[in-house]
Amino acid sequence: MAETEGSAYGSILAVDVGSTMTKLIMIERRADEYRVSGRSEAKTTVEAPHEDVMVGLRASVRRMEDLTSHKLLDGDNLIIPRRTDGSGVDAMVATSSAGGGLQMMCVGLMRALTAESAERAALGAGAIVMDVVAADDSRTVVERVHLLRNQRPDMILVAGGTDEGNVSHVAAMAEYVGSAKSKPRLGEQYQMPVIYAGNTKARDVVAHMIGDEMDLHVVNNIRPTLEEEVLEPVRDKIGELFLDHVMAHAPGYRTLLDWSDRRIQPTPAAVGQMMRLMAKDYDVNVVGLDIGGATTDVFSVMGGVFNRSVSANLGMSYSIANVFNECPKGNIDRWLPIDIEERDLRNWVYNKAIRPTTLPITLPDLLIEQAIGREALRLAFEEHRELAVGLKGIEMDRTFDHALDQTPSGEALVNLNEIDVVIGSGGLLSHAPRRSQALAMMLDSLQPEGLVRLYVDNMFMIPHIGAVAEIAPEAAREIFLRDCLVPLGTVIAPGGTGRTGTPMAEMKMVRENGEEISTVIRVGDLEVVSLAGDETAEVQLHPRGSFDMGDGPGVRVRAQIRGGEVGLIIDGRGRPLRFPRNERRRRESVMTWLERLDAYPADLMHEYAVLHGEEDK
Amino acid sequence: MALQEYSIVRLELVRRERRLPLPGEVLVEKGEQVEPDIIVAQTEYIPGDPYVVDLRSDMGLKRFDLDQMRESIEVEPGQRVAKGQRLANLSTGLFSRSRTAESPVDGVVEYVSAVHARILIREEPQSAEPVVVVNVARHLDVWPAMVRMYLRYREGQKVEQGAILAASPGSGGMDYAYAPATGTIERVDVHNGLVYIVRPQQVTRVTAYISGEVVEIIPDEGVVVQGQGLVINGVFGLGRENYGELLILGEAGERVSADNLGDEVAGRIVAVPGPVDADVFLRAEELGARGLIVGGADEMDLVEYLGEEVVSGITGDEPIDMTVILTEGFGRVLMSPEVFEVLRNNEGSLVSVNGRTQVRAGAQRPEIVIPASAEDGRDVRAGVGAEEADPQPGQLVRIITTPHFGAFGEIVEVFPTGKRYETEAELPSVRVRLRDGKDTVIPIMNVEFFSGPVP
Repeated sequence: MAETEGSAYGSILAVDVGSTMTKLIMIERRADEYRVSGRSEAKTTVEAPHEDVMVGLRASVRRMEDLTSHKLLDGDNLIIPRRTDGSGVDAMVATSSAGGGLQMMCVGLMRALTAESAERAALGAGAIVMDVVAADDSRTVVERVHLLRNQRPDMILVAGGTDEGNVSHVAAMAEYVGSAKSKPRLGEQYQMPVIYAGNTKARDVVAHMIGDEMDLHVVNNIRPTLEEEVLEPVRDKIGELFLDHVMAHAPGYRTLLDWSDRRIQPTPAAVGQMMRLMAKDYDVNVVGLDIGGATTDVFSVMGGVFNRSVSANLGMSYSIANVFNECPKGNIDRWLPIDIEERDLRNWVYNKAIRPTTLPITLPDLLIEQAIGREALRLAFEEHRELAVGLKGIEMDRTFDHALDQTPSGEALVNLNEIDVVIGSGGLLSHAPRRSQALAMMLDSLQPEGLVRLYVDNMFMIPHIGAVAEIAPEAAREIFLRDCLVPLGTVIAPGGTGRTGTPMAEMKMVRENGEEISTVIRVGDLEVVSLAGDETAEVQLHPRGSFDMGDGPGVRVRAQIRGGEVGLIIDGRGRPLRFPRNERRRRESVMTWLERLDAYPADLMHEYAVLHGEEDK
Repeated sequence: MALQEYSIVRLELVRRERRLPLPGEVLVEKGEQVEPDIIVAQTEYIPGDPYVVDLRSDMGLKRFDLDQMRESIEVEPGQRVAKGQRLANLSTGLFSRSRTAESPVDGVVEYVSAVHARILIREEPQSAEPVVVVNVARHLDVWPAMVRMYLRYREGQKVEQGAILAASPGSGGMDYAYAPATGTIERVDVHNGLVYIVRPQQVTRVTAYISGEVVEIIPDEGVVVQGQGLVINGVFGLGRENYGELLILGEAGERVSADNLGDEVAGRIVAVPGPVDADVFLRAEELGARGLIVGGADEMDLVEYLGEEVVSGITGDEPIDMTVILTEGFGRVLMSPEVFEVLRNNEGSLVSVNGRTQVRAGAQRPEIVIPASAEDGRDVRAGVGAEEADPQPGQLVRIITTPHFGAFGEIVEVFPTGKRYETEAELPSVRVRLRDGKDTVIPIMNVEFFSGPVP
């Protein structure tokens, strides 16, 4: 973060150029606090017929002028810095994901080692990884060359070998990268940027092999040793090349670069920035979910280690049929309190996939959509946990059996009982008619253990705020917690499971006003205690036997908690969550959970349950 | 909202490029009138095999220097090479002895590796020899008369490229003779120690697909066919291009099962306006129908017909002989009266169908093309909740979600600020008068509305 605390910026314009809408927010400092003074949006105009990002951006700036009565444009130009008459702004920052965002190919020697590190670096920098090519994948060398040539990414990241490793393997890899003579997606006239972050001893031979038809940039080895992964230099270089090559050649972005003084980031990089900032400020482990129509992004900052994954085939409209087909049979139905025939469910899913913009208007349709949403989030989170692992290939003491097992192992970083905060974003969560629905979806799909605080992104402002954090972190912090995130509440979920009714933990809660609540959490319980977002309470938890509140089986936990729009949620359903085998009892359990959370209109839900469950009665 | 507009029925000058995947022969002339089943171009070819040239072996090198190898290679990827053309040349030793490697075939260099001293050449199908002769006796260094002893294949057997054709113990281990191409062992010549492999020949044909006139010839590749036609777009399809005489089965609303299908469906494109039973798909294909157009079908029935899960992203390449088109969506929905009327009026016409569907990027929907004259005028376009075109009272819409899925009606009122639904969501909406006279309120995003004349 470039700027010091107590930023000198009185007003900042932040824009997120999305693939459909260009969204603008204006932040102003009034009476020593930063506030969002206006929001506006207009259609993104990166593609035909306009092919100029500035058409949409100027339209949204004009809407902002109308909305705030604050003059921002002088003709077609942004007034920057602010003039003495108050017109204009002090700074502008931007994020962009239009035209498919930053698209990269990653190349490495071993898929589980250097290629995986390259993929992590690219994802962390906000890129969409189009493919990962490794010497040990199943493709022939010609297929790899064709892939690198035909995919037309914005840049290629080449990792490979530790500094002590063999040079000839790296040479062979560089040879096929060079042979591909890839052309970048944008700007026919410029050369494909290639970042080499591999064996330092192979730099000369790599330069030789890549030749002069691509634009080679050398940075420190991403894996100098097997035990070490150094991602920052690569991420910084990706950010730099994103500005110099990708943004500079995208239609109209040169003016945006001028307006923003080159402060443009790929949208997911800005979101990741906010997750990291929150994790650092509050010394917490954060998981972020962003579910879209075609893809789902998951972010995590665990013990200070940042990871991002993109599930390119899991989403709620175009990719909804993939979600349905990827999860085991019955996984979607299990979340439904009503009986839906498989035939009808399948038709519903496929109709949504071929008509992706339609919205649910009946309760059964909403229940189906949110049941599928739970599975999409669960699958994306599982994919994230597979990516967010410790380094693979590190020497460990191995038994003879393990020595024969060639599968490289990496220790999972995202442990369910170590998550402190979950932040949800995307239409499914942000636009859920009741906040408790968003909470239920996040809780059911992630099944975090211990004490967890849940938030939902109110107005899709996280990218803007992440961009603001680059120049005014204090402003970003203030707005993030006050205007952007809606606190849903705190969840208390003991880890472990047992027979229904078995005591899991004793809980004592003391509110700010001194009121005390004492209870025993039992297996199967799901209760909501009202506790507003600005209220705090002191809780003491004494888990019984093998039940775990995060610090170990039976270990007492004492914490200061905050409420939210839903409140304090006591989740005694056990981990992993189990469903009754009897279909009617399963439906009844789910109905009870949803009723306790006040997630849907209760009368209506019962009416539909009668309508859709008659045959089982 | 970047939403695609597509059409239900439109009259247009349909233009389709018909191209061979490889150069071949164009069989029609410009100006010729063609029907969908006419073959407009064809090519006969032998699928080219990739050849790996091992420079180290061909040039007789035991070891090499990387820079020297790079300099010795005279070809680069993408370059065409002729059989016998020099690929690499290296001068070594005291007397600068020239060591070379040559191309074994006519082809295109696909990959050059100096690190591994290999060149990969993709043989050109047009110049691929139909018969490949392998001198096994020389490869194994055995007497020609002994060749049969070492062969692993007999006459008539198929052999894959790269397979060990014959092996014998040599001075430094086993010596091998590999099959340079995929084919059938035609003959073993024990007088000369040769093995003849005949390579399979393939024929690719391209039909006109639609009725019309050949308006352009693409030399050696294909043609452009153009004709007046009524184009009906469905919402989802399976299977490739097909054509046949249009046959209507059943009346509007009449349920159709496999028992209703007879030999008359063979070679035809069958349209069913009413709901169809699961067994109709398999039975229609068994009887030889080339296409089946229905209002809707259960996704599970399509899975049963396909034998695998339906992929909603891109379709059209399914291994099925009968093309399937859903005009409304999934579920046993009736075909819309507009579409049915057009189909019924054209029963007996030679129609073309293509099931290819791509929802994202480019939004391709399956199509039915009916030859027509300009007088058949009818043009009804639909856009799904298109933002630019604000809905207006009087406009015809089709509802595309439950309840009333597939129902047509007319907008009687617009609520731009939104209506609240039982889900508690508040969404910009319209009130629609359905054809049975009842009114329903529905979000704008859940209707397709028509900007053309009402049929």
